[in-house]
Amino acid sequence: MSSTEQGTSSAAPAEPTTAPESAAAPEVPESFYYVHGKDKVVHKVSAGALQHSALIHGMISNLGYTEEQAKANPFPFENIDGDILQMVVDWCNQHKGKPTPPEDTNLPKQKEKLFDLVLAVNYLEIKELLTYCCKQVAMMVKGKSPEEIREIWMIPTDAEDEAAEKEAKKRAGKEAAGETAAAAGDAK
Amino acid sequence: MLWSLLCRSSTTIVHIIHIVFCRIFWLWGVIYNFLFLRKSPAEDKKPRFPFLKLHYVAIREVLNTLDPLDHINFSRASKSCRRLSTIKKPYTVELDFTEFPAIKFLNGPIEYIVRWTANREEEGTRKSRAYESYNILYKYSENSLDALKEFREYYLYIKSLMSVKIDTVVWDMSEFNRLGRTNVDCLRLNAPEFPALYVHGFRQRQEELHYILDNLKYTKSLEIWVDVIEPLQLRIADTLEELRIQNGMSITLDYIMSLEMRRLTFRNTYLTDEDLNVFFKSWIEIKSHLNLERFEINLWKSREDFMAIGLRDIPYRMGPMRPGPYPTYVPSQGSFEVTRNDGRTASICAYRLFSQFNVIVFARLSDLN
Repeated sequence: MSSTEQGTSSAAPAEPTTAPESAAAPEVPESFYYVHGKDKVVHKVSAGALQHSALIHGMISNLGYTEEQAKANPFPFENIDGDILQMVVDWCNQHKGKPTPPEDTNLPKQKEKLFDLVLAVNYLEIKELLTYCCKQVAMMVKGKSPEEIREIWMIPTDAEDEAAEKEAKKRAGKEAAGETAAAAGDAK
Repeated sequence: MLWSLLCRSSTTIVHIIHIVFCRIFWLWGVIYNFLFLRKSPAEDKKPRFPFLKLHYVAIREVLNTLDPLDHINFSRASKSCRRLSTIKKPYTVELDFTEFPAIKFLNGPIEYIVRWTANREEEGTRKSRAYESYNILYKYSENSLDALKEFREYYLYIKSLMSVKIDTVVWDMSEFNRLGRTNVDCLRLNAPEFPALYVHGFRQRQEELHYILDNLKYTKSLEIWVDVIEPLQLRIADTLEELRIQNGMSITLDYIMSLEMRRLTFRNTYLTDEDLNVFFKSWIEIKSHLNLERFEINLWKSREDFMAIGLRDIPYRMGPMRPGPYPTYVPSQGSFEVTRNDGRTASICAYRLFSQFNVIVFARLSDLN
């Protein structure tokens, strides 16, 4: 692991927002955990920020890691690109302990990034962020005709679907035939 | 002199060379774009998003975010989209059977409308007016008959796609007499009952109006604004909550006395102040209209005549000036507060409505406070 630890830059501005909480309960230090994506870059994230993710929250709730243990055992999310995980971490830090606003204008505008972000957010079970992302996906086809929707959302036509289905059946048939032949060969 | 001539000519030459080089570079740019960057502008801008590759949870979340018009368009993109589209919240709709019909989706702060149009250029366009909170999708149809056919098919399609509940049916008799009964039969088949029906029309036969009234089942409210040839009294079920008759020339006092609806509105009647006096006395003596909440009728004379004849022998005290139901109703001085024999109070208010007077009786406590 390359383990280029980042004290995530967006985590710093999020700190003052938690100041009143820590003032109310100064004796409880905030615990941190570490996550990394496909690029192995490790992100340090507070437990408060990670609460947005139902998946990670469930994982850490009963761990009771010390700082050293957490550092030594970062959570690997190999199915998430590094820049996408960075976006998710930034969002969690920005919205730590805050009520989420009805709109979020900081989401990526590029379609490829948005697609990866939706996949990641859905996997990490971050409900509010998923709602924002899905609103943005819905906005892509606002006021569009069925043909335009098919184009924008890369939806195969009925003919393409049928052809793909036939192909899949053909392949499945061939595989089944191959297996039968192999079984017959074994029996001989 | 020679020197100045030389200077001038050299400046001109430099200017000409500059222009020539500019042209050459411009031409090179055009050729380069054509040969090496040969992509149509539309192709460059096309955003691509493999929507169906998302997880089912995310797909459902996106579909729930779509407005009804986008949702219907998505369902028409392919058969697989059609299968995904059945997950949707229920919608309340208004069906307008007019010359160029419309379907209105009434849930939420924005009203989404699909309207047929004879203007080919409007086909597929969406218009929204934020200040009026509506969003219209136009569908082109060559004529009214085709438009109505497509409208019926569209309604049946959305009915199969999502849970739709008809709230109101608007029926314009004037524009499609020939198909009137066919459309009534079709609607009755697909919508056994709905709360409100508005029927409009000009120079119609009473039997055609009765065909609509007898064959459609409207459960709460009925508005009739039909100019009928040789009008007769209408047969209307007393189970309705509200009746509004806009062309009330044939309305008689006996007819009004026979009605039991909670809210009654009659315009353009020939009823007199004497008739109103009879109506009010009957209400005060608890002989009729026991559940009356609101009663509106036009006056042919003035407020003074109404006070002298309409309220004759009726004890009242002056009450506050009450605002009318719409800004076009201009309140005329204070109201007349009358009390029924069982102690229930009603407020009789006169309003100037364009060139005539209208009287509204508010007999429901919440309207009075």
